[in-house]
Amino acid sequence: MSLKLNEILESGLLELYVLGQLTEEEIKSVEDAKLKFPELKHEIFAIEKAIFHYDQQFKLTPPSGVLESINQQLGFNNTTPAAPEKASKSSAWSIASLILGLGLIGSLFYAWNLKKQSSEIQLEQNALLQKCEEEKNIYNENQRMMASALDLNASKFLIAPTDKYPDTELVIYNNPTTKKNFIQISNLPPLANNQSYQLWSLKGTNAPIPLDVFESQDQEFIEVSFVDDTNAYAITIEPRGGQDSPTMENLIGVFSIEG
Amino acid sequence: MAFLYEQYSEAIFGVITRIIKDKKIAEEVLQQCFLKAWNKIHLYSESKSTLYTWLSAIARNAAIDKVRLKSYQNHNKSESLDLTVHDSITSNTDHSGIDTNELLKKLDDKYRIVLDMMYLQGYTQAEISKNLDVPLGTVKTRLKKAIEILRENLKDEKGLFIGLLLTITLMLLLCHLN
Repeated sequence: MSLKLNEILESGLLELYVLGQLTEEEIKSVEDAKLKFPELKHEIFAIEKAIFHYDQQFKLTPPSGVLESINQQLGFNNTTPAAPEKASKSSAWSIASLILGLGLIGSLFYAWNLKKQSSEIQLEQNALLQKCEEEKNIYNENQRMMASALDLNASKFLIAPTDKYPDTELVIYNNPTTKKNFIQISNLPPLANNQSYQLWSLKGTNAPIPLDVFESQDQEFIEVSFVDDTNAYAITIEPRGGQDSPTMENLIGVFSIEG
Repeated sequence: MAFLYEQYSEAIFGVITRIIKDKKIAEEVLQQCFLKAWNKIHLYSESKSTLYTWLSAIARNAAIDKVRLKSYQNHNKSESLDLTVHDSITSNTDHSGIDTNELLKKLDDKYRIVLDMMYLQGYTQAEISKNLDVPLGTVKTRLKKAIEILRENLKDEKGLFIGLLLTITLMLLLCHLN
């Protein structure tokens, strides 16, 4: 759906967008329109500001202790901001008080104008902190998997890629003591939108056992299932979500698990 | 978190208490809202909305879900979702029991009802049209008008603030010259 600027402004779509009343499809059409008509961003911001202003009329101070309780649940230390110091009393009208007064007014005006910008900067900081925390967790998880994969009892096997995917580079760390398998991904063939990679356990002449299904090529290290007495593990490309039996023409390669 | 809370908790608590009248439950929902916001901050996209709009959506959804819970309705037998709407949209007093300010006086009930039903109770335009027994087109017009009035008022307040600053500056100058 492609709309003209005036049609969007008149339609009431922007108001519904801010009030959270649009369907996914309509949200997308507004977001596409925002890219096409940058002035819509200002219009949406003005509506958001108006709603915030409306809510300000009903603002209510929450009971004390709510922030502490939230911080406690998040595992933060309670941090009570220091009380602002009282302004000193001026003794008489003087040039100094005039300058101070004008300075104060200037500051108030400046602060008032920048208030919304400061909240956006704070938001960015919060988002970055959250991302840092996520990265830290991923790093710790990778460290844990590395340590487990490089255990003395683990054996390392390289994939033997098929002719169809000769550039594939994968390593499996197989540890029969801890009964854990880790795959190190260096190079995998690309997937279509509706496809996944799938791991299989091969035992003698038995039918392949379907194991893990994954799509991400970004994770360098992933833990996958371990199956006792497996002779080889194979990887194929399957329809998204995996299948019960492998698509042999999409066989990427095989890890032979020796002795 | 302290900054986020200081900036928005009063407005957000005001939103929640307009949906949930029981202060204790409203307080729980406020906590849930900020915990959820903190844990889901990576999902927030500043290109899509301001932080306040995002927080307010979390708060409203949590509050509406709470009111719709059977346990809540049993606990507050006299207060169904519809009654809450009615209360919120017909009251002429704010949370302190004082007469509402200029903005709310300018926002005629017929506009405020539509805005509150949608914003605070999550009704669609079609549902509002059915509930109020007015044509869908009227609902759309009233919603747009409600927002227009809020925007106009915001402009007026800005003008008033600048005027006030200029007056104080002038007074200070005059005092100094005398």
